[in-house]
Amino acid sequence: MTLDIQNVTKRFGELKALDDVSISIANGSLVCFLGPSGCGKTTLLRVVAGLELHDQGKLVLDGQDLSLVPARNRNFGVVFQSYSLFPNMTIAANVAYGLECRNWPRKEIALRVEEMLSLVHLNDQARKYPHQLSGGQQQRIALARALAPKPAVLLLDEPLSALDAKVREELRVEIRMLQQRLGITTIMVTHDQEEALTMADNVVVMRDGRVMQSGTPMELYRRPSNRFVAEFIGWMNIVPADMGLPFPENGRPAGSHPLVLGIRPEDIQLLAEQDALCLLQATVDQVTRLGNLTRVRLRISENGASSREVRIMAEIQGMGEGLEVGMNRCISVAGESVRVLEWR
Amino acid sequence: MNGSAPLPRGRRPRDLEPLFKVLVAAAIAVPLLVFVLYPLVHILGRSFQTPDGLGLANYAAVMGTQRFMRLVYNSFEVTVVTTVITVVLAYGFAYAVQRTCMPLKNLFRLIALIPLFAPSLVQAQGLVLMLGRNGLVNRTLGTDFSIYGYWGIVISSVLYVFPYAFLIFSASLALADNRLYESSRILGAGPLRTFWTVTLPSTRFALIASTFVVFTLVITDFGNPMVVGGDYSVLATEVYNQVIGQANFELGTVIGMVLLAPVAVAVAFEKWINRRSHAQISEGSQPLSVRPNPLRDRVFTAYSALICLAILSVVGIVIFASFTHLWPYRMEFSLRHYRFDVQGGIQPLWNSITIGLMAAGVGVVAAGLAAYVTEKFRTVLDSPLYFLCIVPAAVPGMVLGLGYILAFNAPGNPIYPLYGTLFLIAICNVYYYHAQGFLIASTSMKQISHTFDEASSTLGATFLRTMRKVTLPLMWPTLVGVAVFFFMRSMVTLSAVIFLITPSTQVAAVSVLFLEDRGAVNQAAAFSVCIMAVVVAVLIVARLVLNFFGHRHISLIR
Amino acid sequence: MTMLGSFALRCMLACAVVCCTALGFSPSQAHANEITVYTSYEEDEAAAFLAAMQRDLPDLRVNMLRLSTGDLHARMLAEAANPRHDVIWGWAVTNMVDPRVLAMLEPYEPQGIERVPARFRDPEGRWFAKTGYMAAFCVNNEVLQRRNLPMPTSWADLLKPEFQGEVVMPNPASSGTGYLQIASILQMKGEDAGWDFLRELDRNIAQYIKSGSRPCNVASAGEFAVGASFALRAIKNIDEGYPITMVIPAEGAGNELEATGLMRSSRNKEAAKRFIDWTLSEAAVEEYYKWKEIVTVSGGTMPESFIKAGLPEDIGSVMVDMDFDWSAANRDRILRQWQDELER
Repeated sequence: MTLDIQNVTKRFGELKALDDVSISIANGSLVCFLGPSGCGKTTLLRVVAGLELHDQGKLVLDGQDLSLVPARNRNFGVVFQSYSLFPNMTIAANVAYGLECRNWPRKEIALRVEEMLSLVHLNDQARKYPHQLSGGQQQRIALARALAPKPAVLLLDEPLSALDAKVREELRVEIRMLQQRLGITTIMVTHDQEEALTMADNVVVMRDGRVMQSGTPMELYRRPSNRFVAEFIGWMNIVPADMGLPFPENGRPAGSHPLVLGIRPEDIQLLAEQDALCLLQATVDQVTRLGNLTRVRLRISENGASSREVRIMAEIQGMGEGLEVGMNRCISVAGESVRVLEWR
Repeated sequence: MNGSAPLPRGRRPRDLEPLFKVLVAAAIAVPLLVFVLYPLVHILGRSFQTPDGLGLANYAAVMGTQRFMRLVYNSFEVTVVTTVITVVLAYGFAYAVQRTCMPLKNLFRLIALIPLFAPSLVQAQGLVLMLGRNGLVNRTLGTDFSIYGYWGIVISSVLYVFPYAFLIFSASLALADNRLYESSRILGAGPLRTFWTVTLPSTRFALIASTFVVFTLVITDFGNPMVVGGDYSVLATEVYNQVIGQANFELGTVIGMVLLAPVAVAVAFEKWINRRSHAQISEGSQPLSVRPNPLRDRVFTAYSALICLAILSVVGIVIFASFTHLWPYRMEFSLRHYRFDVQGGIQPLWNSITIGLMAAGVGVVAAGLAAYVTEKFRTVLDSPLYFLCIVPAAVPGMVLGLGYILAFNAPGNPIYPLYGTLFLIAICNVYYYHAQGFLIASTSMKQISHTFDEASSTLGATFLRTMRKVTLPLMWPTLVGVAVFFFMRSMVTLSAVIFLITPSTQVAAVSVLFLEDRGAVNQAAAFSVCIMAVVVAVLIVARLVLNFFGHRHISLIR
Repeated sequence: MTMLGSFALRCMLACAVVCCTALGFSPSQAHANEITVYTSYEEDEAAAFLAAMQRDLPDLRVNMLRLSTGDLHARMLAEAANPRHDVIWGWAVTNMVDPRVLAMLEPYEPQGIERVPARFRDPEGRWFAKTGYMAAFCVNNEVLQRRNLPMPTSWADLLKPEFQGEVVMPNPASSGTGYLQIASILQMKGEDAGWDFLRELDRNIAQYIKSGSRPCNVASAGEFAVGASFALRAIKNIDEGYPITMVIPAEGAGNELEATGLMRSSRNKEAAKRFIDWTLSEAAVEEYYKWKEIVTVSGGTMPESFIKAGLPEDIGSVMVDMDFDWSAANRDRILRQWQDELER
């Protein structure tokens, strides 16, 4: 099942919640919509689910336009952040609900419920009511309920954010394994970049209703195309383009936005003051030793024009022997590790 | 925007559901139009009728006088003062119930609700027995003060509307996000500061809603001003003067219309404010845990006890009087007042019960469906429907009752076959109290998360299945509450019904009025006691039913 | 829990059933021997009269609705398009002569009409009055004693300064009794002197109460010393055991007649006429004498309790000869003036 979101726009009164969004989701992949709150990721998911109606654009599933198909006929499974298990029904009844809506025969429903519950390892809870289960268990049931009717696409709306850290990590792995085993096309909305990077085949970074960049986690990390993505995913030093650092000319993106340079902390080398490779002089401001890794914060006292002060974070392997606050150090960076970014 | 195909305006998914929803919404509106707006239009027409055809002469005649300005002033003075007092007192009481560790909360709560199921005459009657010139207080203390007039109206009105305000505040104060309170405490805010910065703002919509409810109830009420108002005239009693005293419909309806104006403004304002509201409680909220605080708890217990004492003494003295031989002259115990010699004897009580049951049935369906449709359907009809549902709050009962006669007592009218039946009286009660019933239903529907519907529809359920399988099962305890509300009000309401009773459809509240009117005060009290007993019995039955189904925590009266 | 769901469903069904059965209730069909009578006779009087009627005319079924004079007036006017009753029985003449009411009446001369003196009948035969009531003070003995007040015997006594704040009177704008009281004063004293008297009286009035019987009731309850009301109320309250004395004002008692008329719209005129004929029968008159202080038809004697309460046997001697046409014709003007000058 390939899902194409084509030029979708959605307004809430004056506010443009989605602004000409186009995303293509490959069959069997897990795509994360990632962004800060209010970026439109949940609205996009709701549009895909059919819970909101978009103003313009198309939703195409395997060549069929879904725009006008109501939620209940889309055959998408949805898991909500708040679990939303029906409190008046048992676990088994919750899982069976979608099947009853599709008029499955009683026997098959029973079998399928059994199957789904064992899929999430909760067979023994079938007779209980939702409020008798823990948050993690409830969310598993919600997942089983969504998957039971064999949906074309699975939609997860911040499924893990109501859970505590340990459960969240367990479920992360479990959801991903399930998704890969079933080979079901999945969209997950999250504001947690770690979640997105560990689980997704593709990540779509959004801000203010627009797609900032999409790609595999590796692509986004290594080749962010703008400052927002660079800073949202991992840590990236942002420096002005005119500071004398080398950058690949071919890495310059098109467009009229002002440019800045981005360098990951681990790509920075710290050298003795007189090293030949020295590109910039810097003073050590702070040293944080984490054992196998040392974070060094440096201040570049620019040798020239303005009084601008640029701070840079470097990460070096090991304990960073000999580094002290107040030392002068020289910064070096390989040209291919410098990323030219759009300032937006 | 190349390649994007804009959806044509107004086009909805190719699916009959949206159309169906609009049709259902329209169908809900029909009875409201028939049973609220249509009679009102008749009344409105009457207010323009003059000897020389249609015109504004009646309005000129009413509004042109000095006296009218005084009535308007009086009405507002009483209403505003009552509203302020009630809101403050009820807020404190609700706070005591929800936010302190006061003992006997349930008992206090129950007592606060008593005025809801006592006929409105009981309050006024009790007040006179208590505080009248020959009342218990004056007799025992040898003092000589009189409650008749301004303060009499204010006190009895406060008693009358207290439970409404209390219920709204109580529901609102029950919801709270503990995290806010914890952070406030951690930031070093004292209890007062926390109250001003956290508690009060989080209940501002309840404040507005209760102000609205109290305001409309007081300004349209004529029972209390009649009995304890003395010479203090207000707009509502002027309607009575004109219509009953002088058979002058035209002027009476003009004043009815004048009364409608401030209430309509209040309705519109409330709606406008509410549009600005958003859920106070998010998914991550933690329920509030109230910690004991001996000083605060003691202060609030004393406060609540004082209020309960006031309510109980007023009702209690009426009950007591019903068992005396002749209050206040021969105080020996006697059951003679329970041999009712009013028209039809005890039969009106049975009629009232029948009406109450019918009103409960019709009311649950009408108010429940209306709340469901305005909450969940999200059609273009939402706003007008909401307004229609709320507008009965603005209509003085007497005006509605007369409207029913003018509108339905015509053989050609399709409703005519119902005229003169208990059922029409039940319908009249339902629509007279529609706003309150509707608000109860829609408030608790708001508390049922939208995601249940969404989860259901993404699982492939039609909205009918969602309603049957999810919404109704979650709602039914509330619906029982709505039914109880309509039953209670039907048992005790007077003003609209008095114009609709016929020889075979006498009702209990009117019997009380008749008895009171002919001086059989103690017998009137006895009849009131019977009414209260019926309501309490029904409350107990409903409670037991809810408990049986495991809804012990649901409060029946909201 | 599905049980719960079905319970809710059953509740709804039950409601629907209740509604349907209720729809089955229909207004009682007009049977040949069934009529509807509206009256303002007091509850117990009406019941007694009706019982007597039933003895004489056992086949006639009378549905009676008793409302106060004002309530009934409003009700009849509202129902004017389609009156629900066949007969108005025992209803204030001042209200009866409202042209809007007269227009609804059909002239009818019942058997024995000659027994009613002409001045108690409509010249056009639309109504006749066989009973009436008159103004009287209810004076609470206990209060009188407690406050050391003399027993008042006339309207003039009530002007004494010691009665300040101790007298209650019905509001003539909302009560027929109230109107008959001020109309009688204006008729006895002439308009100018009458208004002067009312203005003076006003200083002692504690309240103008909005119903005619309530002044007597509050005086009975001891709230005020004197309640200007009507004689029957006083007699009944004495019967009930209240420590009050009935005082007929020495100037003469204002009075009101209670009239009976046949509705033009009656769908069962034969039965209605039989009923009206009965109201002038021997048995009826006998019954009137048991209950009413004023009976226009001669032939009975006043009961013991009336005389004990202080009613003179020759009632005519204390009654003001009221001009009902004047009362009705000037009602609006007098009430307006009263409201402008005296209402508070």
